[in-house]
Amino acid sequence: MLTGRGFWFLLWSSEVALLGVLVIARYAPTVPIFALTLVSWFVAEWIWFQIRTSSAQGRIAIERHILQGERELPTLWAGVDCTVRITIRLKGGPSLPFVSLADKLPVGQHIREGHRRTVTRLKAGEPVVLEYKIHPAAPGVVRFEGIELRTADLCGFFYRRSFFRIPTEYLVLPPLMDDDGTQRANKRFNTLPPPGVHRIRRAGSGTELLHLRDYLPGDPPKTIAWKASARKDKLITKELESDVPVRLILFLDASNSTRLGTAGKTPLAKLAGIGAGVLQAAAGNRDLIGLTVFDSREAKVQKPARTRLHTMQLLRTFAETAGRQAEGTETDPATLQRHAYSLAQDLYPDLLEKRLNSRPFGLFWIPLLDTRFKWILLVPLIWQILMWKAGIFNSVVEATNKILDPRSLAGWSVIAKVAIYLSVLLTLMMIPTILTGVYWFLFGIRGFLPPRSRDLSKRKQLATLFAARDGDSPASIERCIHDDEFFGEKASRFLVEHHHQPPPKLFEKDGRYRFRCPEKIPVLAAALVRSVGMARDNELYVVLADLVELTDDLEPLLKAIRAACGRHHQVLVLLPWPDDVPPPPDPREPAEPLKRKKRITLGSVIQTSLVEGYHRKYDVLRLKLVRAGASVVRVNAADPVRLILARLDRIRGAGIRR
Amino acid sequence: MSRESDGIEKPDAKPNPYRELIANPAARTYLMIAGGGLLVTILTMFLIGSPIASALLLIVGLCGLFLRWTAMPAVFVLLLSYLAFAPLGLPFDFSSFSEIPGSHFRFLDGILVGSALVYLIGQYRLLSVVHIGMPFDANKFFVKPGAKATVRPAESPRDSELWLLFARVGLFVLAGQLLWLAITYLRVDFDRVPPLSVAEPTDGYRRYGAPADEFYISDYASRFVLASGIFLAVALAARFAFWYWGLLLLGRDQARMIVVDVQWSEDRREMSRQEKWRGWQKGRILGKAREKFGCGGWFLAIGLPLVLLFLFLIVLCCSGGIRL
Repeated sequence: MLTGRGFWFLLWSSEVALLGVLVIARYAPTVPIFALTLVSWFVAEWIWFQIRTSSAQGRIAIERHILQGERELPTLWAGVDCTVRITIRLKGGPSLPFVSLADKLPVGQHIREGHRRTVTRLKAGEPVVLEYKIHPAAPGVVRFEGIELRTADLCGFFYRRSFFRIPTEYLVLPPLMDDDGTQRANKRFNTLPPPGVHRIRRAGSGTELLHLRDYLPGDPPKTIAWKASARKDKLITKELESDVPVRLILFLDASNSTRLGTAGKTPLAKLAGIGAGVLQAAAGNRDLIGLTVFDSREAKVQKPARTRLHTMQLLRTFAETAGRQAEGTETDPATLQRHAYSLAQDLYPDLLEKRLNSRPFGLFWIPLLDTRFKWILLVPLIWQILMWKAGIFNSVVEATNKILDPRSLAGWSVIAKVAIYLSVLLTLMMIPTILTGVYWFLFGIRGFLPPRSRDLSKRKQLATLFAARDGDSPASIERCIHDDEFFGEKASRFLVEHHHQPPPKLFEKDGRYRFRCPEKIPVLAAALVRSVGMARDNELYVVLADLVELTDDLEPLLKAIRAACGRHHQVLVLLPWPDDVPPPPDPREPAEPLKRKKRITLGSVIQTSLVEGYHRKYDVLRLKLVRAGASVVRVNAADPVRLILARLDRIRGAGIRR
Repeated sequence: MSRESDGIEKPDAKPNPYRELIANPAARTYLMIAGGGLLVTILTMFLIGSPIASALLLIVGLCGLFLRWTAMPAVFVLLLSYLAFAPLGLPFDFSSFSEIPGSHFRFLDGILVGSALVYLIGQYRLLSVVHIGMPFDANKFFVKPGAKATVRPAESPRDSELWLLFARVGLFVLAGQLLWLAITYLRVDFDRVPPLSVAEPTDGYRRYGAPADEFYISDYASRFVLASGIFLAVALAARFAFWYWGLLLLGRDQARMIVVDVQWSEDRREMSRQEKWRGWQKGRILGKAREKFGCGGWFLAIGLPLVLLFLFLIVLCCSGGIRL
């Protein structure tokens, strides 16, 4: 690519060369010699630059290492600094004297230390190392796209930008917690069963005595209570309590409503962090933990277990779920195109080049025949019919006679007279055809005018890129061009894959919230009922879900909660709370006196109204869920992990409080 | 090696450009090289007999080197060319012709061209070190204020680079002279195959500028055709070579892209109509009016009535309603 500096130098030196060779050489041969030397230098620089960049194209090797604590890891841990080390080598060939190398930072990450960009020279045998530290704060997925290489010649005449795509995704597992760190510190019950079990008043093979009864034939001798038998003078058998494991099932909401927000700060990431904290603490107690991840379409169940492998699998699930991107946040094809094109320019500059991704002339022409105005092309035909049927031909001849005055052609030869007469006659006859042709031309040529040509060009480039990436047929390119919905789907998928999200439109034009996701309620209810059906004992169900906007659609969930509570299970609902919404006022505390604001703006009025509406919905939701038998907690109200663990302890110690 | 933590950095409070010229080893080196080239150019012009040219070139060169005026190299080229043509500033005498056939490999020309080239190379490299080395990726209207341009790192240029620089200058001076020799020694002659002949020595400067013979193109046209032809041939050959090299170096993604694009180009006409109707039908079902890429409805609203009006007028004329 020629830079501005190169363009101006080429222009001036070529002009001097042109003038020198044509004119000035006669007076001062030094001028053309000087100019020809300059042009030769420029051409040689161009050739040399092309050789350098083309030969480097297949010779650059890039290695990326992610280190945590000086150890290379396949996955990362949230809350722990990790070092990204990239080594770039040139494997032979001419060196690149002036390059800028930059690693594309994953979305949502910031550099804590080090550098992700360097300007240097790249030479075979002299690797360049980029090293920086990032701090993944929340669980999810971190995606490294690759390395950007910008190179220029030493004089700044030529420039080339390329991107080495090495997409690598790393799971960021939830932060590891110390078992003691998240468990209760105070002792709630005097006698606790061993970790991982709780008692149930049912005969079993535990260690605690349930009751005594008369001996029945067939009872094992070891169950005979000898002291009691001696006192009663008959054989008495002791029955022991059952020791059953404590089970905790987490229901994690991964619907679109929880995926909104910047990477790592979504409600889903927060919920996944809480779930992971509970998981690790409960696993430390050897409790059985299960997980159900649900969204608007389906629920994925992982059965309760307490092995270390199971814990790791659940952590991975939490990380993968937290890394899911919101889909369909933007449906306007123009907006999607703008974002997708910008991203494609960043990551796929080579695939947008004209030599690979053509924009032919015919792409922009608007064919009249494909529109509803094609009847215009019938005008010449109708005109011909009228000429013959309505006698217009005679009128045309008469008009020609009037136009051409015989006296004005007096000095002309016969052939010239005939030629002039026929040309005027034909012009008059063909005027409708000519006008139709002009209309056809103007109709079609509009396609070359901006903004249509610009937008269509971008759409075609993106469509070809999508088709090549997804392995689609070339027909999908045309479909992308003419079908906004299809293009929107493709562009959304492209953006989601690269962790880029256009700013979401939260509300429809009629004021409805776009991300309510009411379909998730039946899915959650079905998953809850299924868990109740498979439960063997009193269990704790923790629902981590965003339900505030769904107060009118809760009926299936309420039924499922009632069914769970009817089977003596406990249900705890944890609601994510938006950061920009203050917590609802506590009814026990006296209301603050009204303060007169100095200035009331429209924004503050709207915000107040939205906050009050949210509080109202939350109150309704809480009332409905509590009436159904569930407990409701806001995520930011207290330490939810401790709360859940306390509830587990209560279940574990339930058999003791007699 | 210079490093930046992110793409945009705030500039220093008040950078001192003169201190940077001294403190930056690369800038210092290129300043010396360009200054040397400029000095030799000025001396040569002085020897040729143009003190005005020397003074003007000195001013322009110093502005480029110390004030970093980016237009100065171009001004230098234009000014040097003009003053070589008119050393006293104004072209007084048009009757004094130079002897073109014998104008190659003159010592002073070689020195002048070589020193000017050294100055230009040094000046441009200096700008790459202290001003801007790589353009911004975005259009200049979208570059954030305060964004720092990418410049070459402040490291001393390697010895090999400097030697290569002077070797190249010598090579290009030689190439320029040879090129000039070729386009003056040869002459386009359409009577021959290939259409080239050697210009006869007797065609000395008296023939230069004289009206061309009937069957020969004029001398300046011949020079122009030859110079253009040589550069075009080199550029085309290089372009073709790089195109072919590019095909050899194609990656998987690029090859797939070419295949998809070529297939689309071949079937575009059929697919376009099909998908257009499909999109239209889809829009009908959804009840949406499709507005594709801002096609001007205004054009139809104005253009169509105008065409109909013209037709009506023609019918009126032809039927005798209006007399011409």
